Amino acid sequence: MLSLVKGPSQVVESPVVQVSGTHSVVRVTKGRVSALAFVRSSDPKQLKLQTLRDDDESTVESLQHSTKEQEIVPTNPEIVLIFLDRWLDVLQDYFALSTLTIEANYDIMCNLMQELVQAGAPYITDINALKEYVPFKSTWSSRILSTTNQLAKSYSAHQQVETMSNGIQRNVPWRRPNVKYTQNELFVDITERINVVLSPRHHRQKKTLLKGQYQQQQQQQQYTQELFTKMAVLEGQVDFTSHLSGVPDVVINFNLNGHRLENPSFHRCVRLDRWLNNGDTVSFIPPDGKSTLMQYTLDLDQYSSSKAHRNYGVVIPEFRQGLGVKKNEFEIGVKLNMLRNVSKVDNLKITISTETGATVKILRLSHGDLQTKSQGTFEWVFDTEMSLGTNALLRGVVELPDSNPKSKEQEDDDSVLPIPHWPKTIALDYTIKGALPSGIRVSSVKVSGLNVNPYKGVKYVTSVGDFVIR
Amino acid sequence: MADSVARITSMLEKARNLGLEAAAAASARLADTPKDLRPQEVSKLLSSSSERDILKGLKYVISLVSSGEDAAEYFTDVVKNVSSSNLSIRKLVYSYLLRYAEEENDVALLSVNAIQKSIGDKNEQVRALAIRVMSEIRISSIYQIVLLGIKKSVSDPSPIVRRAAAISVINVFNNHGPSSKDELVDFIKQLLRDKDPHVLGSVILAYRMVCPDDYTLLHGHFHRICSMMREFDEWTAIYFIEILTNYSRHFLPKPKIINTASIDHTYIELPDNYNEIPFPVYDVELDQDLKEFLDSIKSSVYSRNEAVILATARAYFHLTPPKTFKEAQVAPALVRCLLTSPPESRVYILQSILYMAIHDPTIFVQYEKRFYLLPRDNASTAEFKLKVLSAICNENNIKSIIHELQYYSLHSEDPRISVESVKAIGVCSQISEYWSSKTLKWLLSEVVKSDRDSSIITEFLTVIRHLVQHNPENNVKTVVKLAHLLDIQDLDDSAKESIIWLIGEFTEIEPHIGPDVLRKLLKTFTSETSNVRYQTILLASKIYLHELEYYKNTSGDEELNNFDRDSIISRMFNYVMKLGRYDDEYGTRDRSRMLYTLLNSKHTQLASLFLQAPKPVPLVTLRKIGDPLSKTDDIVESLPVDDIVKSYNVLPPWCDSASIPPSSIREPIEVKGDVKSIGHSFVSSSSVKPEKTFATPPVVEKKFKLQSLDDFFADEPARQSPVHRRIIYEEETDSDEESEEDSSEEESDDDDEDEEDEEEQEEEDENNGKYETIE
Repeated sequence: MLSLVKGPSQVVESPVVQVSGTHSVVRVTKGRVSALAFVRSSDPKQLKLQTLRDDDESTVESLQHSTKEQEIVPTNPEIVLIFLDRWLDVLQDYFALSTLTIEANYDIMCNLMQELVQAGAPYITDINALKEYVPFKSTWSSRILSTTNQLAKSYSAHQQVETMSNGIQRNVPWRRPNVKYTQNELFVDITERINVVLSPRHHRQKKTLLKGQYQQQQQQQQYTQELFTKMAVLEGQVDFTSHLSGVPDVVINFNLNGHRLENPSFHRCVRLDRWLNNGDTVSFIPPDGKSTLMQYTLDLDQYSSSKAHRNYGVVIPEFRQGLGVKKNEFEIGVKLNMLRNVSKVDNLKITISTETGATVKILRLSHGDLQTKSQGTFEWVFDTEMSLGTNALLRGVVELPDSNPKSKEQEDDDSVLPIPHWPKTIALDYTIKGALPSGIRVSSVKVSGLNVNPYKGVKYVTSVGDFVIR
Repeated sequence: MADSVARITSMLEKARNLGLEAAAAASARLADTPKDLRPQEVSKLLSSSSERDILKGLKYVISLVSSGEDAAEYFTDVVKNVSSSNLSIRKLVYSYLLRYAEEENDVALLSVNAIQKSIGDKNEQVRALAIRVMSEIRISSIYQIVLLGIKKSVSDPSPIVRRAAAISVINVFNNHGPSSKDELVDFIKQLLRDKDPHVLGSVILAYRMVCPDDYTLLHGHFHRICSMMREFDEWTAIYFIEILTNYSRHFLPKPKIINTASIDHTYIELPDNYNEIPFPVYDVELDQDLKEFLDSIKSSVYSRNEAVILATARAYFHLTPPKTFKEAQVAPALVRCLLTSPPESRVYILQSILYMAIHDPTIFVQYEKRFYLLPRDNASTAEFKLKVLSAICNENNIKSIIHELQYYSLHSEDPRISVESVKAIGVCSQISEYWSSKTLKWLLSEVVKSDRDSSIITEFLTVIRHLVQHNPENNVKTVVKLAHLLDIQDLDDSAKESIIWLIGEFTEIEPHIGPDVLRKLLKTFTSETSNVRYQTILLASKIYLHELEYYKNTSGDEELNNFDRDSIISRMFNYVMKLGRYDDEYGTRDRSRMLYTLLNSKHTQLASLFLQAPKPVPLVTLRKIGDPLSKTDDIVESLPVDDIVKSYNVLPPWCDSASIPPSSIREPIEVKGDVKSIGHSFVSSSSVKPEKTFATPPVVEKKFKLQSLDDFFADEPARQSPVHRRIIYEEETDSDEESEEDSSEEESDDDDEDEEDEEEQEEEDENNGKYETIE
């Protein structure tokens, strides 16, 4: 059985070539053709697939040809790519994506493939369901090492599986039956990534200057010192880790801080109508272990600029150009505003890119260190932890190696302004723990169907997707 | 300090684990047994009476198979264990069997008997496994036995086994070919009546493989499938949505578009082309069954699976007019995927968006900013984002879009993105006369700057050429400007070629530019590159030809007897030809000789055919549907998206309204299966009344009724929340402070409830990296 899809160019180049006893999944990227194939090993084409991995273009074509004949109903273009993504999730969960672990457990891998793919189509991809059919707690070796407590735990888990396989009805399709924990706990992880593009709003004024003996036309640019938001989107993800016994029913109430989340995506366990009625409550029976409950995007463009600004989070960059006597200096400022529940910013880093060959001459630097990374890239690196309330400042000049010797004279002559250069893009990167830029918080978590009161933990993490000034 | 100790410890831990993994891997491969003794050792293990030893042996054999080595020699030893009571052993034996069954035909046949017996096993997993494995063995002689097995499994009490039976149907179809179709269709028919959503999921797959056109099988299940849509897992939902979309095209009447502006409410049926609806405001009347189907997939836009969203988009796009499509919230879901989906899947989302946007740009206009490029976009994502941007461009947003595109074209790191941006600018600028002249001006000012990548300069000139050729009469000045560009010292060669070519083409419209440009070019002719030299020769020929024709027409001297061979133009031409005929390059020499001969004869017809043929305008357009010049099919055909996206959007045509069967064919068929339906309480919450707009399946009594008194009280705020929500909603338009007040009020409510927990929370707040305890 074979199914294969031609994919877009430049699919992630990770070497996702893993083989199990009976099935192999092969992903090949070659130029614009990317092939992904599930092949049963006894299939005569298996040999060809081996060569396919060695960049043989003609086999890609022949495989495509062979699938064309089979194709009856048009295939959903996403199905294979999404399946692969789920498959990686499974490998991550079982083997932590380590090749060595997979090699040590080919038997598990083999059984997994039997459940994941059937008849050339995704069969069972839910991790909870898979765990039921293919039990695999941890590797044999680490089990020996682990404490007796855990040992007992894994033993009892094994026992459960044995009894289960004798035919107990699964009630909730996404939840492993008979889950038992001595310590019941649940964790909600909300992560938001900031995507902002800022750009200096410039008003150009053209002047013709007549200076000294050089009669030349020069463009003097003056910039207002305001950054203008081109685009701002937050992408959020709510992860839920459940270590709860039995079949608990969880209700999470969010304080959305005045936002309205449009069209989030939900794990299938979430009761949709509850969300549609309230817009801030998710109610569900959680899958065991870690799962992504919800993903959302929040358009900040829809708000007025001041409200949008408040939602960028704690770190507010500033950028000015055209400073100094010669009007060729620039200044980057970073304001770390105060925020409740947050005391520090982690791993703050500002990447400045200029034209290739240019150098940045520092005039003033209040915090951290400016490092040259590669041609035209500079990193302003801070301490790994920066406390809030800090205002950091970098003032400098972008200098290009001079090709024109005449300009030397110009520089001596103060009255002539050199043509200024500016950083092309400035990118920020940081993480903040304890708060989200949107201000969304969990206001309550209720668990029913459980005899004990579980430990409930909530964590907020802010990170940066793309935060650039250009 | 503590931190670094922790780090070292974790490193050590990792190293130790790594070592242990390696040890485990080695033990799986029996590394401590000498290589030549391993076969005996494995045979011994496999024949052992201890299950642990057998597993160890199997593990070794499987790891051999998995790493592509030959393990056929163990066949008999492995297959001996085929009826082991241990499930893990059986699974591995089956896997091995499937790998080698064809090579070891006879021994495999022996084992079939044992497998067949397990179809009657007590354990449902064993039964399911047995039928699946048996159907996968490719030995034609067991065909009848497999059919018998499936027949038995189809009516098995366990849904797991029935699901396996459905899979086996596909396996048999693949292994034994279409000759088996009739029997298999019977099984499918039987299994389609199943109640279990998982079984249905596999049956529909079998249906797709075995008999995708046999819609009669589905009639009786239409309503039930619609009502179960929310219970299916993600993959099943995809198949059902796709198949029912096609089904609707075959058997359901088209939606009616009612003109609400007119008094008599005239209506038309959904037109074939998406934007051919003639009414400015309209209502949509859907057929009852179509509405049922569309309502059932409404919630699919909230799916986590991008393929489901794509299938939903396909259904709405091809079954409903734009109004319903917009109401279904498909567009925001697609746009959300651009940020949240795995990176490699974004290209297809974008291509699908592009496909829809050329049919109706208004769907995505409001999401303009989501298509702006981000630094992390890879080249192909960027390419399609830019295409979408140019597709949704209109009078209102062109200013910001062009501004963005200009930025990308000048500042992108990747020249491919720059080139695409310039192309997109070309497409956008055609929106109006004003914008094309504005763009042209910008292009001309930017093309001069010499530090650009040559591919970008070429693209700039292609767009310029496109704009000029579109409207040559008004652009004489532009060409003059371009001619001036040639004076620049270090202009890129490919740019030079393009400009010279364009001036040559312009000889017909404005014959005075060419000669002067040629005069200047002659001075540096010898130092130019061969391509520029060739273009110069071509320019000279064109000018000369024009001169000849002009003379012919004004003097009526057909034989060119009195043509002034000493005019400046002919002297320039002769000079160029002389240089060209003795050029270094073979190509240039040959071409100039050909042109010289061509133009030296008295008959210029051939030469004018050759040199003055009308040249096609370069294709930088992205044609939109509704363009009166081209047919819809052609536009879709020429759309630059992958074939898979195109073929995904090819649907059967709507059925003729006269031949639509009555809706009574969809009378529900009696279902079977003893399984209790998995409680609807999982998909729809029982504490809230089902929303009216949603076709929620009837709410079954909540399963978890046994609540302690504490739980009951704990539920209290959750019940209040709908009211609370209403307050926030109203105040959203007001200033934020009020809503903050509102939320603080709510917090104080919580405080009353449980003060202890609140204190705990405060403590935890100090500790930022860790989890905060929540009430």
